[in-house]
Amino acid sequence: MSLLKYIGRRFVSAIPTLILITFLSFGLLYITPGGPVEALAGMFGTPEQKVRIRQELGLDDPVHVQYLRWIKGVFSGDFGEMIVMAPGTPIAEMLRKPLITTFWLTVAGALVALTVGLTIGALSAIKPNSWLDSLSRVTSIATYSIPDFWLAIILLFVFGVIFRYRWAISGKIDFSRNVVFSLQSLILPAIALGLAKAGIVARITRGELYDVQNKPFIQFERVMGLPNRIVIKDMLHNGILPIVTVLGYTIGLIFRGTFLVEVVFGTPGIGLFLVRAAKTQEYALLQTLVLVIGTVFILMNLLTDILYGVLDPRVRT
Amino acid sequence: MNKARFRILWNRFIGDKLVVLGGVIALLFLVIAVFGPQLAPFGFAQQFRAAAGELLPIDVMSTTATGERLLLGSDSLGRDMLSRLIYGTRTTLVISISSVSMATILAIFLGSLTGYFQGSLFDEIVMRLIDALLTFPGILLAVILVAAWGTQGIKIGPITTTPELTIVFALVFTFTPRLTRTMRGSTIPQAHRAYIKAAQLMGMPFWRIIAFELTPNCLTAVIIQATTYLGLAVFSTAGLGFLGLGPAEPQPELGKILARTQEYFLNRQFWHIFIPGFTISLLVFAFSVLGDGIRNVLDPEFRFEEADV
Amino acid sequence: MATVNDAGPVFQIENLNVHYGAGRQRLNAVNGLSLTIGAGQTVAIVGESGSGKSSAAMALVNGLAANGEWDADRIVFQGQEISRQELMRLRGRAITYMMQDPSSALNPVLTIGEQIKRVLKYHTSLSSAEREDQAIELMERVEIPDAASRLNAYPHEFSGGMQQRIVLAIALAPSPVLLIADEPTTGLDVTVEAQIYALLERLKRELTMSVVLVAHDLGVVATSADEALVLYAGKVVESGSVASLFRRPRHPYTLGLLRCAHDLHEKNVLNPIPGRIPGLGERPHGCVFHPRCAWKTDECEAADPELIQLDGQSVACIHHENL
Repeated sequence: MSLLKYIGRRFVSAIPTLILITFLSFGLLYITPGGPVEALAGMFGTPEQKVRIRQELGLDDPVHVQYLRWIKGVFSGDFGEMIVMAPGTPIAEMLRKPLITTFWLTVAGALVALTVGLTIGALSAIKPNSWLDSLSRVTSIATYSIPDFWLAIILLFVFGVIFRYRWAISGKIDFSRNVVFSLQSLILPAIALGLAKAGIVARITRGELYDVQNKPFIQFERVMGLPNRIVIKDMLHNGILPIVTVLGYTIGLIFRGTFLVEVVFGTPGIGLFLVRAAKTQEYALLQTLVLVIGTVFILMNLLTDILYGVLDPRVRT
Repeated sequence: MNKARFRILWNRFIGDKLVVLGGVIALLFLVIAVFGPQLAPFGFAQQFRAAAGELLPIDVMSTTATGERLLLGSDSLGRDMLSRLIYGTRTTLVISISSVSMATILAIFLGSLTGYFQGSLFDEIVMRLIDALLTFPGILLAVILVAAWGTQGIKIGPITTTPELTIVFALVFTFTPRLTRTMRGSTIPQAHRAYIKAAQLMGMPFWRIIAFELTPNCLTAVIIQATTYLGLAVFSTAGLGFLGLGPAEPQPELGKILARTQEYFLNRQFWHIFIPGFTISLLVFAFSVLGDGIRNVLDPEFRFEEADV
Repeated sequence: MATVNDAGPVFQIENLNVHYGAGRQRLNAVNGLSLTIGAGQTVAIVGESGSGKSSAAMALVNGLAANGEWDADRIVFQGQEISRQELMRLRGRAITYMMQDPSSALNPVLTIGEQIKRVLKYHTSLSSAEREDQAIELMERVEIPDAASRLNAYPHEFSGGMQQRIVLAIALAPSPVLLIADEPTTGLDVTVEAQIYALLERLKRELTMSVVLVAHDLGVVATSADEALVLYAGKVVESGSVASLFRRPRHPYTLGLLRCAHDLHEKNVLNPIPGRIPGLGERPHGCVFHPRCAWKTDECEAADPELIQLDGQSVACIHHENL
């Protein structure tokens, strides 16, 4: 099958999942205790006020009508408004900056995890059972067990409290405004996020690259006298395939980690935002986050699949 | 399982020093969790004062005004750190173990049904739903659920949820899809085996086939995965506690204790940020190594599979 | 095509030893194998799995696994004694190797055209356009239908038999003098197997190449090989021309193998040799075959028998006259 057809089919197969995500997101309204009515009426709202609010919000309409109204809003970029934290502010506006911050944190963390992980993994695959290999085994188990938020606390303690480095401070990340401060804000969070996951990446890389060395077709290329660099290139190409799936998975892990690491460093991303919003039950905000994050993850899986299809002709069929 | 086979498996398990270490640590933590109230020197909410009436200095080994010696010092509210760690471990473990076991039972149920009726409408619907749930990073789902339900707790029918219950529910929600998938995966090949066909031909009702013939033969993979998920559950529970979405005060929980340590930053007491974090790490380490070990023992051919989070 | 020296052997190796690991973990896979192959000849290395036959074949092209080592007293190629390094340079050019199990021998992410042309690129002086033509010609030569249009197909789009033809095309690309075919039909159907051997036989004659054939199937050896070495537990127990070897086997092991094949073919019953081949670490003292041998005496356990030259055959058995 051609690559284009494969990509098209992947896109189509993502649609049902996307629709389910909108159901999930919309359904949150119903599992939030009190929902928007309680929030808007406040603690002292009279029953009459509550009825009025219900009518205004259209909560008495049939469920599918409400759903369609909501999804129409979503498509035009209207995700509703904040009720408690900043009454009247559109959700879309509230979320923009935190999303950008978290995006950069994830990217930086993934970069650290992949560079460190791939390098150590490749080196220990070339020299199995060397000291580097043992070191990578031990550190991967250790980093798997060490919570990234604890690593973050330790980093902050050492560099911020003991040494009092100025770059240990992390804040708003906005590359359109302050590039230096943005970069500086990324340093420690990225190390905390990345190092905690580098071990896993290293382990997988080592396993896959080690296996591929003994694959018959690599042996065939060797005995056919092909130059070493060609054989190594083919080894990398075939060894990288399973690592590509890990790529998406690592990014997912790092994204997950940003929630906690943001809280440690006080980096104003969606993690910190969500935790602050958590106690106020901003239902529209939660809905939007489920929708946005769900969509991002679906797209990321899609991208991984497509990348895999580009690299491996077998999966295209 | 006959004796000889058990001995082979046991030797394989004992052979890996790391796994034995993990097992011993896990066992130790279980003892701490079970006998916590007997082991802890003080209550988790008991506050102590230093001689001058001030709060106790936060230090390893400090003595209170009334002469008690606190082995690991106290937290910022003068509560014994060691006792809080013991009770905190208990909380974290109870939440983790109960959520993983509930998710496993649910997954065995769902997975064997969908696997047995592979390709049916029921299977399609459940699997689609699971696909959708799987797109979320686990802890996010938990954060959103806890956030939606609030830390104060809400009424569902006769029960009022506590934050602990919400976390358990959220974790069950995140683990079940993955475990179900595994269970379904190991059920499908078994469902086509001759002994199942024989049972069908004998006219055995499907629920009996699933419960007594099929399921007992498909449990290995899901139990291995559940063990590794224990580590993950500890991670998530502590993470939520750290975010301030854990059990309410004064109930201690490992993540909560760790979050509090940030208050000591300026005192430069390294031990206080080290100990709770290290406890969490040890727990996660023990469970994941143990899970890997059990996997290697039962299924030596197995290689890496994404440790879903 | 390289010129063939008709007078002497094309390839000769003396006292080949292959071992894996080192120190206390050292395991000998092949002990003292010598092999001589003339122009256009096929020499078969016969044995059960675990006999060391694949290790011997792999050693010839220096393709042993990372923990494998080999050495030999003398290597002669086309009448000239060569060093190991020189042998290394010959592989992929004058000496090529055909992998067993075609399903895993081809790189799954490259088109077969790329895989054939690559070998041409590094081992011939053809231009890019010539390589394209040559690749098509090679594919036609191994009887792949519609060769030109299938150049851009990936390995997984071919059947097992077709994949093995492609492996053969790659091995033939540099116009080798010697082809080492390691059980070239592993995992293929019997009918496909016959086709592959027929093709190999025809191409061998057309290209006047010599073949070292690694096989466990005596039927295949009888029809395609001129000479055969019977390998058991890393040692050559008997060797000679296929005609004389099959007419009068002198080693109990060869006899057992032949009986097995004969009974299976004629009477449709299997009379296996009792016992199993010893593993790498458990080779017995004395004659390696004695634990399974019906002619065994105390002398067999005492010393390892030397290869004795008889007319047209060599055999490593002290009881060869009694057989």
